[in-house]
Amino acid sequence: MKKKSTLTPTPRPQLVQTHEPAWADALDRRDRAWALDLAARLLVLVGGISAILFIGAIFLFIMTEGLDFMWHRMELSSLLFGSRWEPTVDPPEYGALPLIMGTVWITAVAMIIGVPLAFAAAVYVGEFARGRQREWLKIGIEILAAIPSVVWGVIGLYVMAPLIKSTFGVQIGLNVLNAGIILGLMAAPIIATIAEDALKAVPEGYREAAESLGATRWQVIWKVVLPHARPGLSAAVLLGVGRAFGETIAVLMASGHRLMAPESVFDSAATLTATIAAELGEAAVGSDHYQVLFVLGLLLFLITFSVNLIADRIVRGRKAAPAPGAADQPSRRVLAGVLGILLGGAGVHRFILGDRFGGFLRLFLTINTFGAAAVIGLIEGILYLTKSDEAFVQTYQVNKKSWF
Amino acid sequence: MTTLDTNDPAADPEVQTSVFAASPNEHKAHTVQQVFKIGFLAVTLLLLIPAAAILGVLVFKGAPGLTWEFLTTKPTDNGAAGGISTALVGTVWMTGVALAFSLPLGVAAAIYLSEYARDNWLTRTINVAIVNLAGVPSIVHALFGIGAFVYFLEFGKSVLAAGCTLAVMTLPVVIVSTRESMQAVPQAFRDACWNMGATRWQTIWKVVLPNSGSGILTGLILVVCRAVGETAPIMFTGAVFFRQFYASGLFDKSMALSYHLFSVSMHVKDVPEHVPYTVALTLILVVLSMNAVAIYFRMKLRGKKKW
Amino acid sequence: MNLWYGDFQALFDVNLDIRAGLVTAMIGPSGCGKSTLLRSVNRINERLGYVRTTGTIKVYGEDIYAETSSAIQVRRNIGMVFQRPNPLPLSVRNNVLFGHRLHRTRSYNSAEEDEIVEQALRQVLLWDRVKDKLGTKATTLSLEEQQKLCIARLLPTKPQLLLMDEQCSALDPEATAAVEELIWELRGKYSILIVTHNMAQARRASDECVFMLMGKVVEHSATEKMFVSPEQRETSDYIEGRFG
Ligand SMILES: Nc1ncnc2c1ncn2[C@@H]1O[C@H](COP(=O)(O)OP(=O)(O)OP(=O)(O)O)[C@@H](O)[C@H]1O
Ligand SMILES: [Mg+2]
Repeated sequence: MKKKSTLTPTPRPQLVQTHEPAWADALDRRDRAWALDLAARLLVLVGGISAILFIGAIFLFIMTEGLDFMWHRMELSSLLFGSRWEPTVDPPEYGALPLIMGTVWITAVAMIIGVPLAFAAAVYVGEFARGRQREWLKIGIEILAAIPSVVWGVIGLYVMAPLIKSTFGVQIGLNVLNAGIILGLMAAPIIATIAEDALKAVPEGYREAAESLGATRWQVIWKVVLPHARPGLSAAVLLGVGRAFGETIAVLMASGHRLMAPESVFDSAATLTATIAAELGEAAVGSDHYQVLFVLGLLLFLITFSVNLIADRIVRGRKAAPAPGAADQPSRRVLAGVLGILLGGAGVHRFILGDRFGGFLRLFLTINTFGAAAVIGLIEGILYLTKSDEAFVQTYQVNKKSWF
Repeated sequence: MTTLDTNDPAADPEVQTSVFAASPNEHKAHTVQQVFKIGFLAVTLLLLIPAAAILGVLVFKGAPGLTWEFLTTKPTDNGAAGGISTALVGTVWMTGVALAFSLPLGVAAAIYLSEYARDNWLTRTINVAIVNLAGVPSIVHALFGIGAFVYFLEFGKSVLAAGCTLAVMTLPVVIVSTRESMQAVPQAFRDACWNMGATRWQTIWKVVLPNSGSGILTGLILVVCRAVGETAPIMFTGAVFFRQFYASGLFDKSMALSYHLFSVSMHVKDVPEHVPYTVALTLILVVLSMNAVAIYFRMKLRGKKKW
Repeated sequence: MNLWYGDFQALFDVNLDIRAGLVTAMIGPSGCGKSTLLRSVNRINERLGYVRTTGTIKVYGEDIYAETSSAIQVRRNIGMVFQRPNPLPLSVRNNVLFGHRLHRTRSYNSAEEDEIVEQALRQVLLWDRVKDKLGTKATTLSLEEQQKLCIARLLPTKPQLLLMDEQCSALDPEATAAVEELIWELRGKYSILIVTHNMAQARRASDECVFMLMGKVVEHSATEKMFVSPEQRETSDYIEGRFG
C-alpha cells in the first residue's frame, strides 16, 4: 500500500550527504585537464563580468567626454529647464526643455497607441489563441519587432506623413502624431512579449480553481489572471516606455525635428535622442556643443537605467516568494535606489533611509568636489537596487550600514 | 454510465426541471467572452496589419529597382544613382566585426551564468547589467563608441570602431539566447558526465555546448539582424555618407546599408522616388530571412527535444 | 463511461451509483483513475484539449455531458476541492464570493454579501478564525485554513455534490483531522465524494466506499462491509496492503 498520508509517517532512511562537488577529486589530479578547467573558468568569468564592465564603461566614457563642460560651465537648472535650444547662434543657448517636452509628448502618444494594442495582443495570444493560429500570430509579432528602425523612419517619412496630411488636413505630416504612431508600433511587440510572459507566469492552479467554480475563460482572465499579473504588466509598460524613449533614428525621421516644445500632436518636435543624432556630426569635437550632447546622453543613460532597473525588479521581485513575516518594515529599497542614482550627490537616498548625518555628509562632499562625489550616490543606488528587499531592510534599515 | 442519484428532491426544487441547462446569466457571460475574444483578435490584427502593409509597400515600390545590378554596382551622385555595393560590403564588414567580438564574449558569459554562477551578489549584478545593457538607447551606445573606440582606443572612425560598438550593443542578445538554451540542457546529462570523473570544463565542452548549439545559432542570427538594421550606433563611429571604395581594412571607414538608407531618405538631393524603398526592401529582406532561419530552428528544436 | 487522454484510455466502462447525502470514499492504487473520474464529474477535464469521453454521467438523474447541459452549470452545482489548497489570489471575502458573483442573477448589496460570507465560513468552521481578516489575501492563510476556504467558496452557489480529491494530503495530521471533522459536519447537507489514499481515513470518514483498479470500478459497497468482508480478491489484497 502506498503511504501518502501524513497520519502515518514512514521513517525514511537518511542518506549521508557529502557536500563535496563531483569534480572535487579532479582537483587532486592537477593535470592538463585540471589546468584547462581553471583557464576556462577564468575565461568565462571574464565573459560574465564583461556586461558589468561595459555598463560601467558606458557611464564613464560618456561622462568624461562631457566632464569639462559639466564642471565648469554647466548649470543643471538652465540645461533642464531652459526653454531655448540654440547651440549654433552666438551666444549659444543650451536649454533642453523643448527636447524633453518633445520626448515626453512623443513617448506619451506612443504609449497611448502601443499599450492597448500590445495588451490586447498579449491577452489574445496568451489566453485565447491555440495551436496554429497562436504560432502564426507570434511570428507576426516577431516580424513587427524585427523591422529595423531606419525602415520605420522611411515609412514615417514617405507613407505616414502624406497620410496624416490628407487625413487631418494639416500642413506638416512629420509631427508628434507620426512619430508617436511609429514608436507605438515599434514598442508594441516588446510590450506584448513581456506582457504575455507575465500572463503565462500566473499559476495554472488559479485558472483551474476559477474554472472549476464555473467561470468562463474571460471571467478567469478578467477576475484572476489580469489582477495577478499586474506587476508584470506594469513592468512591460515601463520597458516599452524605455524603448520608445530611447529610439533615435525613426523619431528623427518622422518627428520633423523642430527644436521647439510641441503644443499639439500636429506640431513637429525634437527628442533628446534625435537631437544628439542630428547635431553630433556638426559639433566640433571637444566644443561645448559637443560636450553638452554627451551630457544629454548621460541623462538618457541614467533615465533608461532607472526605468530598466525598476522594471526588472518588479518582474523578479514577484518570482521570489515573499517569506512570511520577513518584512516587518516596508522596504524603501526602490525609492532609495532610484533617488541615489538620480540625486545621490545631494544625499537624498540617505535622508530617505533616515540617515540625516550621512545625507549631509554626501551633500557636503559633492559640493566640495564639484559634483564628483555624486558617483558615490550613484554606486550606492545601484547596489541598493541589486539587493533583495529583505536583505535591503536588514542591511540599511535595521543595521543602518552607512557606506555602500 | 455513472449515476449520482439523489433521493432528496426537497433539497432542490429545480430538480425536476433541468438543473444543468444553461442559465440566461450564463448566456450573457458567454456573449461577453465572445465579444472580448473577437475584439482582442481584431486589435491583434490591427497590430499586424501595419507589418503586412509595410512589407507590401516596400515590395510594391521597391521591388522593381531591386536588381542584381543594383546590388553589385557602386553608388554614384552621392548615392542618388548607381547601386549599393559599397554599402552592402561595409555592412558585412561591420556585422562580421560585431559577431567576432560579441559571440565569443556572449557565449563565455552565458557559460559562466548557466554553469558556474551561484546565486550571489555578483550574479545578480551581472544579470542587472545585462538587462540594462539591453535597454541602453542606441544613440547612447553611439556616444560610448565615440568615446571608447574612436578616441580612447584610437581606432578612429573605422569599421572596427563601428563593429565594436555594435558588439557591445548586441552582447545581451547573445548572452540571453545562449544561456536559455544551456539551462534547458537537463541536469542529468551533466551529472552523468561528472560522475565519470570529467572536469567541469570537459562537461561543458562535451555535453553542454553541443546541446545548446541552437541557442548560440539563434544568438548569432539575432546579432546579425540587429547589427544590420541599426543606424545610430554606426553613423558616428565608422559609417560614411558616401564613398565609392570598399573598406581597405579594419581601420578604414565604409558606407553601410542602414546609414545609406537614412541618408538617401533624409539628406541626399534628387533621389529617384523608388531608391529609398529599394534600399529598405534590401535591408528588410536580409533581416527577415535571418529571422526566418531562427524561427525555423526554434520550431525544429521544439519538435525534436524529447529528453 | 470511458475517458481517453489523447490515445491513452484512463477510464473503462465505469459504472457507479452515488447515494445522496452520504460521504462516499474512492480508494485505489496510484494512477488507477480516481482523480480522472472525479475531474470528469466537474467537467474540469475539458480544459485539456485532448480529453475525450464517451458515455454519460448522471447527477440528479440528468446527464451532465448531455447536449442540453452546460459545463458552467455543472460546475456550479458540483463543487470541486483540489489536492493542493488553491485559493484564488484575492481576499478571503472575495474568495468566498467568487462563485456566487459568477452565478448570481441579481445584484446583492454588501450586507447581503456579508451574510453569505459569514454563513459559508461558519459552515466550514472557519468564521471565528478569519472574521477579523476577511480583507487579507487568502494565500497568506495556513494550509488548513486555505483548504477550508476552498470548501467554503463552493457553498454560496448551493451545490448538492462536493468532490474532494485527496483534500488532506497537503495538510498536517491535526489539520487533516479538522478537515475530516468538517466533512462529517457537512454530511447530510451535501453529497460528498472524496478520493483518498489513506485507508484509515476512508474507513473513518465515509459511509460508502468505492475501490478502483486500472480505470475500472472493482467494488462498491458500504464502508464497513468493504473493510470487514470485501467481495473481490483485489480489494482485500489492496486493503491489506499487498500492493498499491
Ligand atoms: N492530464 C493527463 N494527461 C495524460 N494522462 C493523464 C493525465 N492525467 C492523468 N493521466 C493518466 O491517467 C491515469 C489515471 O490518472 P489519475 O490521476 O486519475 O490517477 P489517480 O488514481 O488519481 O492517481 P493518484 O492516486 O496518484 O492521484 C494515469 O495513468 C495517468 O498517467
Ligand atoms: Mg489523483
